[in-house]
Amino acid sequence: MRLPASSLPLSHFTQSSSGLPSHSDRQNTANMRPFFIRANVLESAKGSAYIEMGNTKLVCSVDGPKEITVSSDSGDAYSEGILNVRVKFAVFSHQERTVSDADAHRRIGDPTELETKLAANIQDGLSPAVCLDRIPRAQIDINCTILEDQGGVLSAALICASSALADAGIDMYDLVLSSSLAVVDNDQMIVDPSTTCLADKPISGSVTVALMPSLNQVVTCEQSGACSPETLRKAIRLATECCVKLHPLVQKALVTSVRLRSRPK
Amino acid sequence: MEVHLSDAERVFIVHGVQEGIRNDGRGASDYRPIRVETGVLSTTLGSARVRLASTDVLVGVKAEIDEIDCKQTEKKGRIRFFVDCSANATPLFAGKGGEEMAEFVSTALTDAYSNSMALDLSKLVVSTTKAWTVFVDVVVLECGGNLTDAAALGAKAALADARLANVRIKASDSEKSEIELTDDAYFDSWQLDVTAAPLLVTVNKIGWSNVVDASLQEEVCTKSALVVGVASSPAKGDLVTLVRQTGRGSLEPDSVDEMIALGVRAGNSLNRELDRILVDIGRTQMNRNELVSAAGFLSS
Amino acid sequence: MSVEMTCPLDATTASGSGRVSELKNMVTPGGRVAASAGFMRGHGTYTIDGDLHASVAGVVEQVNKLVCVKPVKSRYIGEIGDVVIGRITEAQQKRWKVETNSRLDSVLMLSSVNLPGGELRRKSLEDELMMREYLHEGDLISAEVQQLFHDGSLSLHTRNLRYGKLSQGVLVKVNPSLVKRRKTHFHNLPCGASVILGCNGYIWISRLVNEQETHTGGYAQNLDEVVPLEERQVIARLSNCVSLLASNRVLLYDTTIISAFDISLQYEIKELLKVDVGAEIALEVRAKLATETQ
Repeated sequence: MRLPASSLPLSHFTQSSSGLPSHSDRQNTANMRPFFIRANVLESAKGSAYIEMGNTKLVCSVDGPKEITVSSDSGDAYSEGILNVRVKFAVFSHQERTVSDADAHRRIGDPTELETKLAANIQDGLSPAVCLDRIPRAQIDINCTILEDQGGVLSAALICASSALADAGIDMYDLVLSSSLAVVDNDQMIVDPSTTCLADKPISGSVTVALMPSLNQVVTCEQSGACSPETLRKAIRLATECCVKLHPLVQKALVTSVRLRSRPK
Repeated sequence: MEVHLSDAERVFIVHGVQEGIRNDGRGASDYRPIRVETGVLSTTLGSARVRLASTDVLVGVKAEIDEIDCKQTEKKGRIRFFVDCSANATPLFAGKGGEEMAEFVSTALTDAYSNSMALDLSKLVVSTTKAWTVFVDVVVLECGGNLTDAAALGAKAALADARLANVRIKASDSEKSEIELTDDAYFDSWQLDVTAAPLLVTVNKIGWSNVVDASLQEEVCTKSALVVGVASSPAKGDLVTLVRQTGRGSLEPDSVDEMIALGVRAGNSLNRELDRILVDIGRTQMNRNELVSAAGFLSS
Repeated sequence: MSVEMTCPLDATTASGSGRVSELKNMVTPGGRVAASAGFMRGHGTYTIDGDLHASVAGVVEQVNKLVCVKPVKSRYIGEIGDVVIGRITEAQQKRWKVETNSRLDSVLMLSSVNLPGGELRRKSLEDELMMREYLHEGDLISAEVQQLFHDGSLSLHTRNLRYGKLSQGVLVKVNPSLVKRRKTHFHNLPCGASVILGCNGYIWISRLVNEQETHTGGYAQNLDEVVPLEERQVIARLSNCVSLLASNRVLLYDTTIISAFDISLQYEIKELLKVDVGAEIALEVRAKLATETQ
């Protein structure tokens, strides 16, 4: 059924409210959404992981290293291996179906603008963490399916993909942990925000940081919106601290999966 | 032809940056000479050409009247950025390389402008259902390093140059409404306020030093870089409107802070210089119009 | 922190009209050069109906009966004995491919290099396997043109201790026609840097080379060695001078480079990047040259 262009979906009026703590409880505290991660969730993939950050849910699988199939313009790239990231938003991942009229001209299966951008971000964020110099002329495929997007999808994808890489037994310098936060008016910060808790808040900036915790190296630092340099500095600091908090949880998930695998069936 | 460097050349560049003297004699926070021209394209509402050493970009601004997205809570117009890295700029851009670069620069610009401070988009509203959509098209004529910064300079200069016509919408009985224009569109027009529009500064990490405005050779030696969007609004002072890390390297948390600080300082200098130039250009608007109408502007 | 912006309002529009008239014998493709009777057809020309026409834009040159048109702008056309700077693009069996700004990649045979330490001996199988260790992709070398092949590609050799792998320094690329062919292309300049003017338009600027070091052929590179600041400043100034001379179309050889360097001393190094400063220095160099030749 085609609706007139000026119509609004019902969901616009019935803002879904989940049972999560409201934003007022979470200002300036490192109180993050419920976090769940499990590695080795897919039977067939070489490595895989599933993550939940609040209602943001996604699954990653990893294949490789194998012979390079994607074409690369720079011949130089062959001296190091490459990561090939594909991102797919499930059609039901947002309030509205993701297949919009604007995308109608695309062939089915082609990535949308958002998917391409996210894939590039994930690739940039993970490349420093993987020992790509040990696998020249090879590529590693990372597939990422977003089941539900309620904010912080880049952070979730980075953690999930790095766990999947570790689960696949690929040489890595370190895990990648990531966290996002929003700066609302009066320079207050909401850690790990969900889209619902920000719906009626005027956001002046959002920050995503990804970190290699053991080496203490930042691999992704993204900010948008407008905030003062001083606020930004604090925000990055706080986001970095949040990343570190996740470290034991991710480690535990990986250890569990290794233990399960090594146990005789 | 791709930029190749031998190990020794690479070492020479890295050591030089660390010593505080780059291969062309600049210090870490020095820009190469920049030339800004505005009003260079007659088919646009506003245009600019920026030359940064051998990097050369041409920016045109156009606008269309569009339906306002009814899902938006507040009524405002839109601004969209498109970048075209043709193979003219460098043979590197032939094929996929150009697309990736173009994609990167256009999303960086879009994200840097996507805040309420950069431009007052509510001024673009024409009627209850209609608003201007502003298109900023960047064409890269030549690439000699640091494309992102040059593109942002061009975008801001072109937006400052743009004149939008004053229009009135006459509501008629049916769904269709009529757009009314005055006879002399040039004098009955208004300009966007770009005082708080952001510029982008790419801060490159070379060795243990931070460097702005890297040349092509220096870009090859860069493992990691931060693109920092810097605006200064009269009300709120310095604002950072974008931070984006690029490259295959990683950074220490402290050096992220340093790089952002350097980016803000460089961005402020750029903003001040651009404002000065735009005022200069505005002052000599009349005689310049004659100059520009002469053919062959690309040759200069 | 220095940012300087200009707008073209105050820049004088450079009109090249005065300079074009100075150039005699300029022809464009298709232009008639001479009647072919009594003349020999050289490079850059072709014959139609007994007339000699130009096939490139450039200057007519005549040596006895041979008429050539030398293109104003071209890739490097090699001549035996030329000193060139090249970049290794590929290591193949018993030879390297070298990019030398000519139409085709040049060839450097394993048999025409001096091995590390300047040894002259027959190359063994081990040497063949070690080729990448000596020179790998991206490395810069200085070499001499040994031979020209039919297809126009060049064969190089480095069988002289002056030639070989280049270490730390700066490469400046200019139009090959701006490099004057002279007796020597290796210069240790009095300002404290050494310059190799490759005939292919690649100019290499590095710190002064002392005699002992040259005998290694450049294979032993000390990449940890930091070039001191003073020498860097000289190198940076020289490379800016070479670029500004080239963009103002001044022939490059030791005299012009030294005088540009001396004249430039009144400016900061980074000021030399400005177009107007560059033009001024080039003008002074030209004037100085004119008075010296008188």
